[in-house]
Amino acid sequence: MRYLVVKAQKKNEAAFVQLMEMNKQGMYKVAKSYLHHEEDVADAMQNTILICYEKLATLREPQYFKTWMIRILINECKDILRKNRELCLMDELPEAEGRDMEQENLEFMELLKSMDEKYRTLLILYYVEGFNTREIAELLELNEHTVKTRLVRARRSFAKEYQGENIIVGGRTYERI
Amino acid sequence: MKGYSEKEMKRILRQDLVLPEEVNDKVYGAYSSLSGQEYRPARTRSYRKWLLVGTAAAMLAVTSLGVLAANGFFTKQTVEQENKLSYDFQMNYELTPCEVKAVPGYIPEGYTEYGEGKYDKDGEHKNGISICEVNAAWLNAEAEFLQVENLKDLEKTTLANMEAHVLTLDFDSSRTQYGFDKRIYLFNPTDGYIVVVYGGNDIPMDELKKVADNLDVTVDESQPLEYADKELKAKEDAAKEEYEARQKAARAKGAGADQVAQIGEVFQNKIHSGVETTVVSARLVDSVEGYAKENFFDYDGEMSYWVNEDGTLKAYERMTCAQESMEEVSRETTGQKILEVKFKAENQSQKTVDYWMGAGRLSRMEAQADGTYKYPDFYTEAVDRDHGLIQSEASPVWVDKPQHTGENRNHFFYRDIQPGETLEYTVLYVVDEDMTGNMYLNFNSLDEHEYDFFVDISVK
Repeated sequence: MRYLVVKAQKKNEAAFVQLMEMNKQGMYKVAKSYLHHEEDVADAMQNTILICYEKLATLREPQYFKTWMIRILINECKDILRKNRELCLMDELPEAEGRDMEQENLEFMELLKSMDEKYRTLLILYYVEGFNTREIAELLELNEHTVKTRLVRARRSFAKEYQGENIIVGGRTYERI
Repeated sequence: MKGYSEKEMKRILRQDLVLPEEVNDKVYGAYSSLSGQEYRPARTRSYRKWLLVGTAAAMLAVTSLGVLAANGFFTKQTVEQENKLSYDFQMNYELTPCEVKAVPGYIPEGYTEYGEGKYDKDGEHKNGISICEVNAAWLNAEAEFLQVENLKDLEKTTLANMEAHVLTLDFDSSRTQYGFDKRIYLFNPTDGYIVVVYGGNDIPMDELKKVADNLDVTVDESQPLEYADKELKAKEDAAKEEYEARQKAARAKGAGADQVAQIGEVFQNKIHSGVETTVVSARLVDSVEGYAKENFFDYDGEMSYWVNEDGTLKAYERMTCAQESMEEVSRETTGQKILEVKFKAENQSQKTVDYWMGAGRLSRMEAQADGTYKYPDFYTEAVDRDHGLIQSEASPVWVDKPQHTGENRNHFFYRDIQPGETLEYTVLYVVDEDMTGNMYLNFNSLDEHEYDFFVDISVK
């Protein structure tokens, strides 16, 4: 990726496009963790691409490209949230909104819905983008303590839900009916 | 609510998604505006056609092997075991994968196309025929979806001049809501793709074979793709698993007496050697009155909810859970106090220490008769997950001299110490009033237990 970043910094459009295409899935997932309207996700991604292209030459260390780009994306998402005064409550999605995509990406969307809001972006940054807790703290402007603890809690939370398929009483497991 | 194992969660989060049309339009619109050339989405739907729900990725033992010629994009091993079938692909990363398009030359009478590569005759979209082109990049990333666990019959033959596996299933476990019970895999390692032809229970296998045999498949070399770095991900996964095992072992071992200091005792920790730290005092206070609100990490967002008008803290409902099973064992309401801890830290080294973690995390330990300490078998957290971060996260909430504010606020409790500099500072924590007899501060800023270093701040 470093090679592409350097080429893109020299205004090589093809390299830039390839770079963005490589990161498009991750960008979509991060944006989706903030925004539930697809049009807003599209706006956030488009703005991010344009800003990245414009400012890429200012990035001193190509190896930090992904962190830099995700930070821009997160800021764009927050801007849109502020503008729309939209709460990221997946449960309140209008019935028709994005239904096709929900079907297409059923597993992902179901998982996203089941996640506590404060864990969504964190888990995507950790598991999908591979950032460490310090990088996530900087990206999400969270106390580093908090990132670590939330990660532990998110894992526990999911494990709990997973175990929640059955009821454990006195060391014995009973299936839910 | 549906539950997920961590492994399942990772798989789902990492899978490729179908990006909505409006997203692709804007993305490609942005590319076009930058270069003056027109960019159009490269048939993104072909990646996920019909594959609405991923298959369970069960690992199977190898019972039979079939190896193809090695001079193409991939070689494969076919793994058959009773009613299970899977493949192990070895990719040739020297070749560049490209987009692939399969156009049927034959579709049985009565079937009409209702989506790209999808045909049915009743308009219900629940069976019929679906053609899915799997290019080498996709195959590299997610070969698991070719696995089946309910195989009734497997015929190995040749269709459309390609090696073909014709599968009859008891049912299609990945799409139980659909009536699909047939699949044909066409393998083309030379050109770097597999075509999957799904068949519903409304179409005879002979007809489905005819569809597969008459496919016109083209590789679009103008649309090169990149392999996802699967090896890197595998390494990361392995490293995380190894780390978790190591932590579990360290936790079981407990902390040695040399890992625990007392109030007033000067200590250094393994992470920042050269900085001598002392917990000067620890005392409980009833109220946050007199502590500047701006010195809380997040007074309005986190703290204010728990503060009564007179500055004392509200009680909260606490859940106690077993560390291993995570099973909730009890639930009770407890009052809260403010714990005020004063520190002194002196940098005796010749180097500036960046991001000095001057305030530990609240922990509980169990002192053992032999002088060692056992990590507790239980943990607690607030039942109210919306407001219970303070109770569950055991982090400081206030510091008298925050150095990092504004954009750097995520390091609110961290300081830089210059060579020879001495810092004296005060930090507040929120503690359960019934657990003040067992409180330790852990000065480990890393995740690894081997770096744990505690100061006993229990208030008896």
